[in-house]
Amino acid sequence: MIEYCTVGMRYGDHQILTDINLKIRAHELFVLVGPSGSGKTTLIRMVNRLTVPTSGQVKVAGQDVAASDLAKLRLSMGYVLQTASLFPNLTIADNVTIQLEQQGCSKAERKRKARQLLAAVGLKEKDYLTRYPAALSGGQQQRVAIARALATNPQLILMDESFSALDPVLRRQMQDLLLSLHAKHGMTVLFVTHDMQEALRLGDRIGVINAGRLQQVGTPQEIIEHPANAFVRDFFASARPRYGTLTDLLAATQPQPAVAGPLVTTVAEILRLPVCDGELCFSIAQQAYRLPVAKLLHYLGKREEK
Amino acid sequence: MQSLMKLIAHQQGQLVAALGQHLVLSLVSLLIAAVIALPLAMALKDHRRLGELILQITGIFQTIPSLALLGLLIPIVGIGTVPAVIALVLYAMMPIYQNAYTGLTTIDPQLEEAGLAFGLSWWTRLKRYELPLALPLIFSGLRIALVMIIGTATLAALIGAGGLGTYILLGIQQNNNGELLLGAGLSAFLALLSAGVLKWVGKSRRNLKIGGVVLAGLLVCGGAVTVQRHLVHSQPDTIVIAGKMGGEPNLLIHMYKDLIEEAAPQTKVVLKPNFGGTSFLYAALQRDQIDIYPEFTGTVLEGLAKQKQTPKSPDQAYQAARRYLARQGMTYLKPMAYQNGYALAVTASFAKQHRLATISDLVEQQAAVTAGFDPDFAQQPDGYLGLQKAYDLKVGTVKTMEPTLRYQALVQGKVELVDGYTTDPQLRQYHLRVLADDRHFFPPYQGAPLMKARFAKTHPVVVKQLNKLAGQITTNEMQEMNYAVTVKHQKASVVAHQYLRSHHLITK
Ligand SMILES: Nc1ncnc2c1ncn2[C@@H]1O[C@H](COP(=O)(O)OP(=O)(O)OP(=O)(O)O)[C@@H](O)[C@H]1O
Ligand SMILES: [Mg+2]
Repeated sequence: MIEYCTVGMRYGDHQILTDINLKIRAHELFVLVGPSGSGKTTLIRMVNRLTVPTSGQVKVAGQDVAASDLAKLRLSMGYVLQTASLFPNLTIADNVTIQLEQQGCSKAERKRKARQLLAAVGLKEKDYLTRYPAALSGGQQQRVAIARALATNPQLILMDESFSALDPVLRRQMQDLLLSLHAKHGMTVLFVTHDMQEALRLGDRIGVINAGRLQQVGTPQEIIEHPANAFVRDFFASARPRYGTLTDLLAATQPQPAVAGPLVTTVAEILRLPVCDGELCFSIAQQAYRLPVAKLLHYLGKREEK
Repeated sequence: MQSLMKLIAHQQGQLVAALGQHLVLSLVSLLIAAVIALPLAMALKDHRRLGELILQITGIFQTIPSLALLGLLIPIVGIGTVPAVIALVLYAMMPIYQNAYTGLTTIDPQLEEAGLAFGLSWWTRLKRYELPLALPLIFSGLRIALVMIIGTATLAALIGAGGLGTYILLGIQQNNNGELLLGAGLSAFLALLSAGVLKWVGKSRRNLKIGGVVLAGLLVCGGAVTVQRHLVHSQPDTIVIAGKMGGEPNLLIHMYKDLIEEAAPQTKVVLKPNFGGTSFLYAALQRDQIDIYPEFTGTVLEGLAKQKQTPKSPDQAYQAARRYLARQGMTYLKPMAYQNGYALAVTASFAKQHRLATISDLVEQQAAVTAGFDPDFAQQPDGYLGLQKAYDLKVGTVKTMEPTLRYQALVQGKVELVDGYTTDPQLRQYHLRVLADDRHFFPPYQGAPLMKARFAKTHPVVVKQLNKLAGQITTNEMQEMNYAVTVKHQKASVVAHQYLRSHHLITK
């Protein structure tokens, strides 16, 4: 759906992005994650040509964006900013359907569509339509912003730190909303965040960027388990489950000796073993053990509490 | 205060006309300025460098003093409403443009980015949120501009565009605080009122619509009146006669009108009283914006011909002025009898007590005399300075005072001698004695109709009729009529008509 081909960006002497090659597939929810200033916003803005790369090219649906009709390109995708950025002088209904208005959609049609879109983001009461943004809470405003991005039934939605300004509870709600909308409509989503928890929770695939270079692209599991380099490992370190060492496990669970079992070197490997009769069999060094699953879960639960 | 009420009562019609003229002049200027400045701000909001440059330029307009700007415009577009509107438009550009530009360029960048990213067109963005969000600032710009325009429009009277400034200028010229207050007060009131109206209009969409309809109505009315006037002027047998500021020229042009209409009743004579100063009127004559205006011989020689030496005899002065004007393609008809020049005046009792008849008589008493002179007169070579040399005159004390206060100071005995003009109504009002200029120091000022030679040739009847005034109207008679018009507030048309009738210059 989106393709970055050897994209580079420089402002004067500052090379902001270097040699970015990235393919985002149709229908996937792709999360671009990296620390502040790493170039995420610059990358996402290249998709709707708010920023033009100084080298390489960006393609959307196989077509170079530099060669596409700008208005058509932008009308064909939704965009959600960090703040809701609703037009304060327009009603919620007019805000939500502004792209439809630009496309010349009739008034009645817009009204129908606005009601439908607001319902889709959980704003069911009719009176939202005629209210102004100032009369909505922060969370409600962000819901409206998402509804607005869905207005033209776009194949692609761009979201730049769209939930970063919300408190944790609201943020979780909005993430759930996004996941359910994505599951239902199957549009491609490019989501930018600097929060790896959010990336792991949302992403079908994740792209990790640092200092203008793409570090790794993969599923959440691939990235956690096989970080491509020290940066990726450290960035996701706090996201890795705290299983503890094998010594901790043995000390806490006191497993029974067993006849034989596959050799393991980490707790994570034990977690992946097949269960037989409610027990796991494995060997550490020369010694084989039998460990009831209930005991293992008890141990992991204790660690999690810490 | 009483005289102010009297003034309002007597001049109701003219006052309303001036008020209307002022309002239409201001609104038209505001509208033109807005029609230029607002689209400019919209066009340049996305071109910041050019936008800032225009901001500087409109700022520069504002630093040009308004009088200088009017002066610059006269050679280009002449006098009257057009240069006044141009000047006002130039002044109004800056507040309108600045506010609109600021309003449009300080919109939350997140909103601007959203609008762009959604693929909204330039026009949709402008219409749907940029203009609405900038509207409060745009309106405050319009309000500032309108208040400024209404204030500055008082200067339009200087170049014959009329309006409330006429009263201010008349007040200054005739030392009449009532008129001055009336003009200034009304223009301040108008400014406050219109600022309030604009504020109300900017409050809601509904108000905006109502305001738009009313403005359109006003402009249509104003436009209709202007067009009608133009049509009137462009009729072939219409003669436009203008006069300078003041009651006396106003009387004269009414006499001209009566005389012309007596012999040529089918001719339409349009009068433009209080049309401004010498240079404006002369320019208007040259550009065929007016056909006739009364001018003084002394003014022609000193103001237009800029001669150093003015002939002392009235007849020589007239001949010199006529010759000069003929070279400019002008015809200067024969002058009337009265002289309107500088004069020295004393009270009747003071004259009697010291047996004063001429300025030479004054020299013997000079040490004991306290004089109250207009500051200009006291300083100028054709005023007191020259007088000192010509008569070897040196009065005991000279107090300079505002023209308004001079005559009162004389009557109250605070001074014994004042300067003035020979036809000042106060001379008649307070029964003052003018000391004869026995050495002919003051340049002779005689009035006569001035017109283009081409006009004189094609209008022999007009020339014949106006020549009937030659040698007519004595200084005393003029004083009397000025007194009737400016002090008693009688109608100039009536006073003029009565004079012509009683001197058998007209029959009807
Ligand atoms: N117009 C510009 N001119 C010069 N430098 C810029 C410009 N825009 C961005 N940069 C620089 O490019 C780098 C990347 O910026 P970008 O906004 O893409 O970062 P980001 O990953 O989105 O960061 P954040 O998480 O803080 O939003 C930054 O160092 C920034 O200073
Ligand atoms: Mg960013």
